[in-house]
Amino acid sequence: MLKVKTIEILKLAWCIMTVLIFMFFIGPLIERAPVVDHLIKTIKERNIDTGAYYYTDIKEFSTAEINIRNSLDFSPEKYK
Amino acid sequence: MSEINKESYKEYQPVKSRFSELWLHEDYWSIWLGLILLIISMVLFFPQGPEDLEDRITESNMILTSESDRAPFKTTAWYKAVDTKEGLKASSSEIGKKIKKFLNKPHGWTTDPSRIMYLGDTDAAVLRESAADDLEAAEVKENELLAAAVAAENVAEGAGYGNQILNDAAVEAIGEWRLSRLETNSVQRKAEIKPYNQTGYLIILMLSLGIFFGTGMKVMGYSFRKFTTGFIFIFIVAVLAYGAANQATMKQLGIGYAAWAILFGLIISNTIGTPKWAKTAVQTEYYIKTGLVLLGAEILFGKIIAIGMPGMIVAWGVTPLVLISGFIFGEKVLKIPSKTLNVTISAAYSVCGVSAAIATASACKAKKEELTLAVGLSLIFTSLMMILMPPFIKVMGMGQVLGGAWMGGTIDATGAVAAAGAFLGDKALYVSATIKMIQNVLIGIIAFFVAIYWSTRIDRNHGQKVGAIEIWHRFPKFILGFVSASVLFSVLYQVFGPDVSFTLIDNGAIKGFSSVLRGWFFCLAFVSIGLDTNFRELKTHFKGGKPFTLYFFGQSFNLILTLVMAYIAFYVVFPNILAKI
Repeated sequence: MLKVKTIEILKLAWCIMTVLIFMFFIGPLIERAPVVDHLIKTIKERNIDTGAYYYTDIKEFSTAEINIRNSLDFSPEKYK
Repeated sequence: MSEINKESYKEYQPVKSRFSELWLHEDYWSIWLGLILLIISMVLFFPQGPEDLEDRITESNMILTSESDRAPFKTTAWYKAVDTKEGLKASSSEIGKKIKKFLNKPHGWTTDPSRIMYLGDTDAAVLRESAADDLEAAEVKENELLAAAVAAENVAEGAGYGNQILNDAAVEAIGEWRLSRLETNSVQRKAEIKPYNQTGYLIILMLSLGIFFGTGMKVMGYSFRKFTTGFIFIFIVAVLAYGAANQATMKQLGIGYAAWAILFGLIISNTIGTPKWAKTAVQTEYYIKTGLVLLGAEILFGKIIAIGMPGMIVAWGVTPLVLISGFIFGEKVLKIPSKTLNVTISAAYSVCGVSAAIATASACKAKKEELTLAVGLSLIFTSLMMILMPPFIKVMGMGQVLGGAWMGGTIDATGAVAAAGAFLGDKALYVSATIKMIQNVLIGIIAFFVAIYWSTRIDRNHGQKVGAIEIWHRFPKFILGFVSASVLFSVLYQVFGPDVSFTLIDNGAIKGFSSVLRGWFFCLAFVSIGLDTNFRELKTHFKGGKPFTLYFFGQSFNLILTLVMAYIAFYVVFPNILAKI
């Protein structure tokens, strides 16, 4: 019983280690890849929550909506 | 006989609805709880608009009208009027700020995990001081660029706006001022960091939600004490999931709370096992359905015309076509044995990833492992598309509007759309976000029709006709709460008008209250999924890699069709809309 419990705790510790390695070593490596770094810079500057799942979770969607709506409703004379 | 046909011959037992289900079934409890929260959100936020809200909107609209009549481009005054309207938020009221403290998710952090909960006075002051000089420099630069923009505008006006070179110079100067404003906002966030201690608020939130859900559980016949004890465990794992999602690198890579919640749950259940005392609180359906009723209030049908007909064509024309063709492809070509897995994955890539997968899976009563697979696949494809699409669009020389519409219609996760759009530029961000928002609204329609289709066509014996009463018995009742919330808030949106709704509904009742709670409920549901799932069970659903193949081919078709339709909509049929943006 004690042996089974030890194995379970070792498995848990291994999983936690894997998560930490991904978070602090692999993740930052991906961030520094040339194809990603410019995108990451934009995300940092604007503080975008890239993991959000719905439009109401992100302030950029409010800004986008109000700008598009007013651009269409109050477009400069030559586009009317 | 194929696996699919075998399944359609499965014997279904007749189902009966009873009156007592109104208080004994979780579908109804999710409706009652969801509606109670929505009523609270309206009572709290609808009286919170600024006293002179109508006057400020009218004044801003008058400036916008006169500026759009005066100049052939958007002037500095035009942008300032839009900024004024954007700043009117009920969630910024005193009550809004107090509620935010209670509902706040764990804070962001980079290497020090204690920042999830706590930031002391000294540390906050150090952070503020380090940004103070940058803020001063950014503000000086912004004011200089504003002055330059106004000067360029005056020169163009002096020539009667008849000189295109002067007009273009003014537009360019205004664009530079707007960019500098973004930089100022970015530094301002750092310069205004305040100390916080979230621990007490999270404990209060945990107890409140435990009692809130526990009351329903008690009436449904479960032990209130056992539920609330287990709920503490589920809530702590949810806090850890939010904490991991808010770690700087993970946030930037788009690995959100759903993935962490499932992963942490899976790790616990497949190593040391889910504690027996916590199992009463592992109630995936209960949390998810209550969250979906709240999500209903965010499905505002007035938004579908936000970018006119081109947006409707890209978001509402392509999406159902991709969903239905993907489902048929999964059935006829890939022969995916589970129809619920097939439709959940098809909804995830055709609509908007995780939120669409949750709504569709609940509507067709998919297994939790099937939802987990759809979420996992969506996460992988979203990260890849968020990284690869913007540079591809740049290399191909696509315009910002076309590129934005393409990304908004295809990248699953909403947050990833904002990041990819912002990378290309403001126009791309505005278009991609608006297209995605219109697509988000489609979730309500899709969940409703999937529920109807499953009640009438799937959950029946071969050749059997299903009567209206039988359809009612089988119909997932929480969808009624979901649809009612959507109809109620959509009607209010129309009654208030878009400007007042922006202040009281979008940035009041929803962002200040219901959407934050909806996030917590989904997080609790994903923790429950992980705690209730065995790795081996998960593997059987991935048999032969068919879910991956479906996602890959479905998303590829989505990419091609969305690009073609976006081009036709914005460049061929409605070029006037393109010009206005």
